[in-house]
Amino acid sequence: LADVDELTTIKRELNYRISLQSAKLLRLLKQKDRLVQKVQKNCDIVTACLQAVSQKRWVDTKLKFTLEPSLGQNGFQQWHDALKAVARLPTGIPKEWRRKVWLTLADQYLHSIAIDWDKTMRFTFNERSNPDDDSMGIQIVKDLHRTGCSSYCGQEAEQDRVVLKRVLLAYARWNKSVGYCQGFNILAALILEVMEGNEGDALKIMIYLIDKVLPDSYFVNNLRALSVDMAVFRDLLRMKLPELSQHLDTLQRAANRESGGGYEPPLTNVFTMQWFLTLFATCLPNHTVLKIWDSVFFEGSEIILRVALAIWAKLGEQIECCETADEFYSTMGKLTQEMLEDSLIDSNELMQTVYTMAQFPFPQLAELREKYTYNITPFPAAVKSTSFSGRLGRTRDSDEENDFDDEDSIANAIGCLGPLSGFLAPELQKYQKQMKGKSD
Amino acid sequence: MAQTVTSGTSPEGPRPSYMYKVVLLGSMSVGKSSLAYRYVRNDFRELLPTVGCSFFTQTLDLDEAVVKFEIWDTAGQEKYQSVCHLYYRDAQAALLVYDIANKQTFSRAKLWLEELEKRFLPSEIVIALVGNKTDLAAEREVTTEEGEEFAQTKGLLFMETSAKSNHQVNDVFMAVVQELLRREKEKASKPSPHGRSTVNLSASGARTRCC
Repeated sequence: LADVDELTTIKRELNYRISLQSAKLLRLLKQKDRLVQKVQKNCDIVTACLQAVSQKRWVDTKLKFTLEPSLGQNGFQQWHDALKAVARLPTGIPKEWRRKVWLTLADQYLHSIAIDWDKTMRFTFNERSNPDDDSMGIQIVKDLHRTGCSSYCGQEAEQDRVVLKRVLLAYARWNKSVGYCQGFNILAALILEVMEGNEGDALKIMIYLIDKVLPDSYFVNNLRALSVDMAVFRDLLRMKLPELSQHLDTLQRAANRESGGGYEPPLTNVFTMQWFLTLFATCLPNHTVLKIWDSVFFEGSEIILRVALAIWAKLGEQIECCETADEFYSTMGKLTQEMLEDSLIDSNELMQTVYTMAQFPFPQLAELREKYTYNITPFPAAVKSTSFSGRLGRTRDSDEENDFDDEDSIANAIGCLGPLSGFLAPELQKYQKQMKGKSD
Repeated sequence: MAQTVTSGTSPEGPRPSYMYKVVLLGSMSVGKSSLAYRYVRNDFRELLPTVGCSFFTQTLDLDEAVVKFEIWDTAGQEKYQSVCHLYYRDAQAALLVYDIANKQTFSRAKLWLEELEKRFLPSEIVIALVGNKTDLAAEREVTTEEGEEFAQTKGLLFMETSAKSNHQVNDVFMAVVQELLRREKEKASKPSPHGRSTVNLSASGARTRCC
């Protein structure tokens, strides 16, 4: 047993230390308060700035910027509106915020569909393999080293590739109707980079992006919604950039004539399809791509169409100099390289064009999407006949093409062929003659 | 067959010039894009998977003709077929590519052939079966004989290549050109259509030049 003196000394010592810690704690608390106040003040400044640059509409006066959604019913909406306004600023969302911002959006979505995330994690990242995994896994593995992100190449990147594979497989397990689609590896690699390698967070973003933000069935089996958007895009191009669109149509028609009645697909297709499928990740430098994605997350999938329009507008001048389809393709080969190397498109300028080209939501977009999704007769006025085109699908099916397996794919094929009416027109006329001949 | 016939000019006098559309078909990751890249740029690198389609052009200045190739490269994943089939309509030639180190891709190439046979008459398209990745000989799953035999029974051109080590890549495209040109000549002399005959690959010694 220690004697009383010793205990007293210990007690005094302890008291001293406690008082030191208390003082420190108090200091820190005061500091915290000051910082909280400072954050609040800065948030207020941001709010003021956002309101100052806003269009001064009634809704803009209610903008209130917070770093995280505050509690309460309108907390998320308030945060969302303010961050959306930040994303629209020339500087965009600061890269330091990006991870948290994306996750907040994804979490809100997962919350809204009442997902038990822990359970989902256990299922999707399960070590045991599922019956469907094999074929999916093989496809995924083939693309793992082909992401365009240097961090996934080479020996030392083994661990990164393992994580990428787990995320892709997890998404395929989560959404079986989509599974794996070539190009996902490119999306997931960039998402993982933003999520600092956290696989669960990356999966959340994949789910939010593919299931919620992009049009329904964008990546499902026959890429139906993608075909619809490509058709829609050609209409938008015609509306917004009539001269360029006309020029391209002329080149396409000339190419068709030159190849002796052959078929040249719409010239923009090959590029636009890639842009849409990889959300520009293979055509623009990463910092620009991330800005676009921020915007897609806040404004929705119409941003993709807007960006594509802005890019074609930017390239327009050089394309209008092309005199043949061949020349167009070689020019585009050069321009796509320049775009990727960041020497052609300024991201601020691009985004400003994107935001200012039309009001939100894009006028007529919803109607166009609906038209190409449900209306299987998107033919030009010259050969317009609703009841007639339905039959056309079947005629094509029976006589010359065997590529339409079921009703759905007929609708799809016709839907996506819609804007290619230039190429269909001769066939339609042939058919019309046939029908006329019969009725006579 | 669809092509442009105009008079090219050269020191030796006017030569016909042709434009041909070639499509690359085959499973995922068999090296379709790499073959095109090697052929057009003479380089090999880790390429991104083809999403949708991409294309290359190559002009060959041959003794007998000027040939412009429009090479359409398609995504290997089956999902993409619905958006890619537009691109192989009207092709004059197709390379059916498989990976010699992956038996499954060989079977898939056979399915691709069936698909092509549905769309084209034999006289309409020149088809070459291409066993790529001979650099992976140690992991070979499809023997040269297997490929050769299948090509022979179906009347296809056949060659094994490596885009990585630049083995016979140029040759396979040359063989296709030779066959296309042979058919042009045949067509010019006899207007009636006829079946395909095999071409002697070793005879493809024409000089080529990129423009």
